[in-house]
Amino acid sequence: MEKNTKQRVALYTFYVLFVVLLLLGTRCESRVHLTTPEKDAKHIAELAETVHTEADLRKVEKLASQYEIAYRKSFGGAKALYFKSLYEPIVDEAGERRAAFRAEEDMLMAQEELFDSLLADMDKAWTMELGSEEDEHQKIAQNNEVIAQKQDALAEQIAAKEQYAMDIIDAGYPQDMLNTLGEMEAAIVVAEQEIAEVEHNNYIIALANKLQRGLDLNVIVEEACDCECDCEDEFCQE
Amino acid sequence: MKRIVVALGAVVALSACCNRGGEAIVIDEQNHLNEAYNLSFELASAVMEAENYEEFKVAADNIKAHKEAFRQQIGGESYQIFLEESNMILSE
Repeated sequence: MEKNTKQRVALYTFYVLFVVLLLLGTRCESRVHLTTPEKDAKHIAELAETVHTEADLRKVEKLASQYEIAYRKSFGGAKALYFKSLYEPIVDEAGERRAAFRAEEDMLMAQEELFDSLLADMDKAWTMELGSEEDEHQKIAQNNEVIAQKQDALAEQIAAKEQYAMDIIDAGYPQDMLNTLGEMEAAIVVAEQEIAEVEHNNYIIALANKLQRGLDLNVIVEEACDCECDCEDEFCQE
Repeated sequence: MKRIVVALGAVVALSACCNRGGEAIVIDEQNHLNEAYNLSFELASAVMEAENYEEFKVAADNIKAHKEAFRQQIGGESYQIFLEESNMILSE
């Protein structure tokens, strides 16, 4: 009987200890251990020096915020504000450092994209079937005409959009007009893309002629005119 | 069972061969900055000087492989220099 009681007591003690440990474990995980604002800010500064990625920065910001909350809970607002004044410049500096890294990453990505697109364009130009020299001039001239037409249309679209934007101000920014303005802006973006596409086609044609025939077609076509006329253009006279 | 073992062995051997092929280009780690300048000029010039599509393909594959080697083995400033210098020549 006595043995059974001892066993029960041991079992209950074990359960209670287990629950206490479990609770302590979860609390320890989410809480930070405060020392002094200076020491804690130094800890944040050490971590901030290792910031390289966006995730690193978020981690430092989160930790600093956890410390600040802990100071507020334990010592009140004054100490929390004092701690904030110590860590805020450190986190800001880390943010600036991260922004610099991001700018470098963006530049590198742009260079990678340029590298790939230059080689892809050359591949396309090498495999493009070329017609006679005259046909090639014709293709570029036709594309130039299309570009000119599209640019005129684009200029009209932009002017209309600007006028509409003024009308919206006068009308007091009604939602339906704002939606229409958004559609007009989207149409302008599409038109710009279409122009860029035709310009790129011309670039590929010129590149194909340059690579396959050693012919600098762009210069000729861009400056081309009807040489039978009394053109005073220097290029035509040549 | 024996067949499975033989097939697995073949797969392992093949993948080993493939990996060795991928590691063929080794960038000199002591001299990577110079290599970035020299190789980008040499390889991009080869692309530009190709006289037919086959020559272009060989040169383009070569510069792409070196770009990848720089990215994986060195990275940082040298990789950036390799890209910038190559792009400058390729867009001439």
